[in-house]
Amino acid sequence: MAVVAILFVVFLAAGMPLAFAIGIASVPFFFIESIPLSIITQKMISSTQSFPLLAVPFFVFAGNLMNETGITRRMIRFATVLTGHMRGGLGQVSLVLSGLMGGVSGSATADAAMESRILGPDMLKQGYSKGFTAAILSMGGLITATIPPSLGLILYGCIGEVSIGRLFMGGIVPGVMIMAAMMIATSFAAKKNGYVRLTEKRAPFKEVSKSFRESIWALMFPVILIVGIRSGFFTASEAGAFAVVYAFIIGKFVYRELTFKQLMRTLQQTAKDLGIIMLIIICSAVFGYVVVLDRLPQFLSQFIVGFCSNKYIALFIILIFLLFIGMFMEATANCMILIPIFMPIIKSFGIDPVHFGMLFMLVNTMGGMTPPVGVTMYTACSLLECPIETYTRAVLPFIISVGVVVALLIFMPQIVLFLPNLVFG
Amino acid sequence: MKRIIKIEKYFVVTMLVLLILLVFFSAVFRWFGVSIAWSVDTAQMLFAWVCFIGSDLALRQNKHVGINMLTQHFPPAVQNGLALALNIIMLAFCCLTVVFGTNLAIVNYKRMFNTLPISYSLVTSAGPVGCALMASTFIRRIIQNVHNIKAKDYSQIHFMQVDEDIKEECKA
Repeated sequence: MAVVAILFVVFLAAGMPLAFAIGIASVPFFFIESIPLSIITQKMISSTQSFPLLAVPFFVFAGNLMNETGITRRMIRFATVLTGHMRGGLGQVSLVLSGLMGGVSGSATADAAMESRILGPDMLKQGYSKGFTAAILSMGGLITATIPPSLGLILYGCIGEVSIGRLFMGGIVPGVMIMAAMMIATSFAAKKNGYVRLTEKRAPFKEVSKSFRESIWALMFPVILIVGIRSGFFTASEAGAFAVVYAFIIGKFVYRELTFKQLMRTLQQTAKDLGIIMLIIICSAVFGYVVVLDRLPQFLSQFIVGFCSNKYIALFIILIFLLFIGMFMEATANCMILIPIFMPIIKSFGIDPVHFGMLFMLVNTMGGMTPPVGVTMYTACSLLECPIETYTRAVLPFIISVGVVVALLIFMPQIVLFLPNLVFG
Repeated sequence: MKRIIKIEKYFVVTMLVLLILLVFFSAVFRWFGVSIAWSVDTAQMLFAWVCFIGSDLALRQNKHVGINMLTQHFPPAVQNGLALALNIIMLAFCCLTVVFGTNLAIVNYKRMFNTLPISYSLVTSAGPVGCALMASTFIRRIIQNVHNIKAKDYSQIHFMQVDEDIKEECKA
């Protein structure tokens, strides 16, 4: 196991793509334990053979498609009439936009990339500092982490065998809480640095309702999903296929903005996005086999159980560990590797898997936004040409506000569990 | 070379569209009381192909996530040497998958889908085919790396260009 870990770190530091680093570092274990090498290939191929996992390509595609169909533009307008009058106007708009888009795209990095491209230049023009802009646009992606249809929660549900419908339902309140916490942090930062409001006054009700009606199709989307899954109308993966068809119809026949050329471009983009995500999942399956064979979950579980008897302390240790790993590792790989390790520990302490799912997803996704390594952070910083050091200083208040929300969620599971229990019983 | 990329692209896109239509319509049919038993198996088979061919598509465009924070500060000659070493290791890994994957596909030849009268090898062979394509990508890069050393020209290192890609996309 130590060989695997050392090789992995060396490969990664040398610049090998993460997926290959995970897969190749696992190979020596098969030699040492003299396990047939054919199992490597077998595990790689069988990792793609899961019906729930099909939700991943569908929701990636649906998100890309919605972005092409002019939904984003309407959402920005809606977010602006809602929050433009607040202190730090554009910053607040970007956070609300993440919340709204979270119901469509479900990926923090995609969200940060989109906002850095569209809102970033305007924010810099209005005198927001580079660090603050990069920090808020990158951390804003965290809001999408739990709002349905969140890709992370789908993966969590697949790997941990938890109901995806319950996870979707449970993610709504934490998502809104994170958004509120970051808006408060932005308000303080705006006051301190004198960032301007976007509009002088609150938008009149008429304008808000007009904008609401324009974006209703996208806003309805997560609602339709949950109703559909709850009523047994479709499973989570079928919901994904439905989402694609829905996005296509809205773009083609309601907004009338989707052209064939755009459709082809979106398909190619999706194929590439999928290749990236799936190769990580495929290679992680090899490592996952090593982990199981090495009895690592049992070992860690016994270690933590022997170490402390209080479930809150156990949760705290796990989340700190995850935060640390997340600083260096990529979120999808963390899901594949860590969820099977944590699940038995969580269950032995009697912690609800849906409750843990939210905590896991928030901390894990935030790992992509914390230095030194983080894909979401890289994306926002490279688009805005912001040095990592500047980003690091500006991101701290946001991390603290997320920490407060996570602490609240740890001690009050009912915040998470209230909605799924109400809807699913 | 461009032709292969094009074929790959259209292949993945076609599979993806088929996958969506299949899952969507089998759900629709179920609402009307008609269940298509073979839809799940077929969808999973298509997905295996989308995954493995898509991986090579992303690889050719240097899109796979990695870290270049450390290596970007190295002198170009060292970067090139490092890239060469890593490309050889990754090539070996792909070859391993091709060999054992092909074996697996041959062994699986007689295994049928539960719901379909076709061989399970159709799923299994996605792995070796995808990895063979990736291997060919690595071979081209290795040749480029060696060529760089001979020519002492390190302006073209195919190695982790995530940031540049995003910037290019931004311009377009």
